[in-house]
Amino acid sequence: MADLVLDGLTKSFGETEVVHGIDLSVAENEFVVLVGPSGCGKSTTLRMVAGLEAITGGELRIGGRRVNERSPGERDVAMVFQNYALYPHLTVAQNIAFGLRRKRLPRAERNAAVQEIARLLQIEPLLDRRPRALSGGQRQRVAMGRAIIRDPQVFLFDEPLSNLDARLRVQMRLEIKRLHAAKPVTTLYVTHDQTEAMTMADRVVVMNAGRIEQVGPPLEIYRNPRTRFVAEFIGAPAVNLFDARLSAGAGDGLWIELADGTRLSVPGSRRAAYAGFAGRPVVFGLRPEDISIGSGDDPVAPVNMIEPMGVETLAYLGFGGTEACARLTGGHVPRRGDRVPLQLGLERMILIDPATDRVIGATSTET
Amino acid sequence: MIARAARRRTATPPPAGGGPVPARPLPWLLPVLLFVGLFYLWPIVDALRLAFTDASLLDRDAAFSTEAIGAMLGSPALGTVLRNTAIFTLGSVVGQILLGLAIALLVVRGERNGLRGMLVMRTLVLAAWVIPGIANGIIWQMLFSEAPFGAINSALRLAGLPPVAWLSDPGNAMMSAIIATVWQGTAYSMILLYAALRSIDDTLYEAAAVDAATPWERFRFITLPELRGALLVNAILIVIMTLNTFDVIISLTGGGPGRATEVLALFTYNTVFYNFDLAGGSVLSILLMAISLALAALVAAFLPRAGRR
Repeated sequence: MADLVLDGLTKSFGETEVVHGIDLSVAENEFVVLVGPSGCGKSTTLRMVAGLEAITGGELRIGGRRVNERSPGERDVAMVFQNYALYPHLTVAQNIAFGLRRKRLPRAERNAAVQEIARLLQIEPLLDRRPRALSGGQRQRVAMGRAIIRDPQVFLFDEPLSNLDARLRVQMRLEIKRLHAAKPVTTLYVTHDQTEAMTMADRVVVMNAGRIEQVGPPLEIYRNPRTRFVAEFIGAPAVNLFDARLSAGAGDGLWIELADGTRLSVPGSRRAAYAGFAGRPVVFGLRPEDISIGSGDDPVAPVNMIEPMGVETLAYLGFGGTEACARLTGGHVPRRGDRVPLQLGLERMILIDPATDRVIGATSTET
Repeated sequence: MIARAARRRTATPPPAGGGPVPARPLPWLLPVLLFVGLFYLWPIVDALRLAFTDASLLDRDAAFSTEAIGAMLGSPALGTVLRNTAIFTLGSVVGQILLGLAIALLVVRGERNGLRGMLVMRTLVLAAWVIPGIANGIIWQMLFSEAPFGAINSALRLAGLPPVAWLSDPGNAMMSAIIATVWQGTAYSMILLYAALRSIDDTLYEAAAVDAATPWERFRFITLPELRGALLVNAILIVIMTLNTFDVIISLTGGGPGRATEVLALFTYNTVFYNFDLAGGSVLSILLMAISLALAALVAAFLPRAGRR
């Protein structure tokens, strides 16, 4: 086991720099997820850690040792690929045992190790089959078995669940998490799926256009996004954003004026942070779960569309000059065409400076 | 009419992988049957017929006879010729596959690492294949020439080595014929194996790299098993092509010295066109076909079956 440090890693293909200086340290046994849209450099970053891409600049340290110049095999990392990359002509048992070749174990010991991994992953009945005869989920388990058995310093996952169907994805997500709890290893996991990132990570790294936007525990990223990109990327359904103006009222009062003329009072706890932006255009953000059905004197909005999800209902409301999504739970569910009063959880609002796309007053905890 | 056809189509679903089967397939198959029959089947049948005659090139009036079969199979030359054919085929096929594989691996590796000139390299290797066999024989005759201007011997002399009797020594002549054939035939194997190599999933090599596999292990556990089908198909095709080779040899050594490089195809040619023995030649060509078929069947037995690879 070891920690993993990415110190200003950059990657250029020819003249084009695609990864612009990634600084990240993954503590021993920590599960860190790199998440971002396709083309954001997350896979390239992972492949640099694996040694499959040459590092253009910066330093990569595993367990305190610089490994930039080491070949993938010398880095003592194991990797699980999106398409599993199982050796097609080897059986499941041989695939899993492949990583043990170097250790020159006696046959009995090697078989015992394979059996143990197979039991852990519940693939014992499959050991004599070839990858071709396995389902996607089974192949994924074999690929993980091949990685786990090596007992590596660092575990790398490159979108391992992307080729699975939705149900299996949820199941494997949980199993990987369970596996990590049972056998903790320093892990770097790449995905484009923010749900995967939120559910699995000790810490989430949101990447965009070759840069890290924000690093933090999932709930902190969710609650306190530092940029517009993070706010929009994390959370499903996405955060509601409204073009607005901040204006100073009587005393130290601050008002958010939406495009449709709605005026919302900024809660007292936020006034100090926002005061400097009075009189300026801003982007006002509120998560769907922070909009609920209110009572008498709350602002009223028409219900454009309803999506019942079972435990909750998504309501699309004409509000703030655009459409807002509200996540309604429990009792009264409005119908399409209703006009409902809205209660807004403004103490959890965010405000974005449209000039910089940064969230105003976000506390920068770490980079 | 159309309505009826449509109704029939809905009643019986078309077989997978094609449209509806026409009610009378024969007219549709007729052109290809005619072509295959005229240009492939008929010559075989005719050779078979001639083998049971006493036909000669000079005398077209042939009568039934099994004499030619006895004479050819009992011919003292046949043993030598078959042995030559075996050595020539084995040497050429192994040489072509190994060299073709080596060049294909080099080209693929070069391309993977962004080395320039790989297309030129592929084209150059392929150029050898485009040269007619006769021309190839003549080119190598000049290279192997034991006269003072012989290219290879001149080079050997420059390096301070003694000259080699490439074509005049019966022991060397077969080796020279194999070298000339391999040089020409390698391109075929190279292209076939190159295509197969390109279709191997790169992430297998990446997974192996992360698993600290040595280059030999990568070759042994990924490349070779993934190439198995292509190698076997390639082997069948070049075994048959090599068995039928006579153009390179006739222009390079003419089968000599003595019978040192006389292979079955050349022996057949000589029997017909030097001895005018049409019946004997027919016997030999049937024999050649039988050997080709047997070898092809043997290799095909090792081909990966669909669903079981």
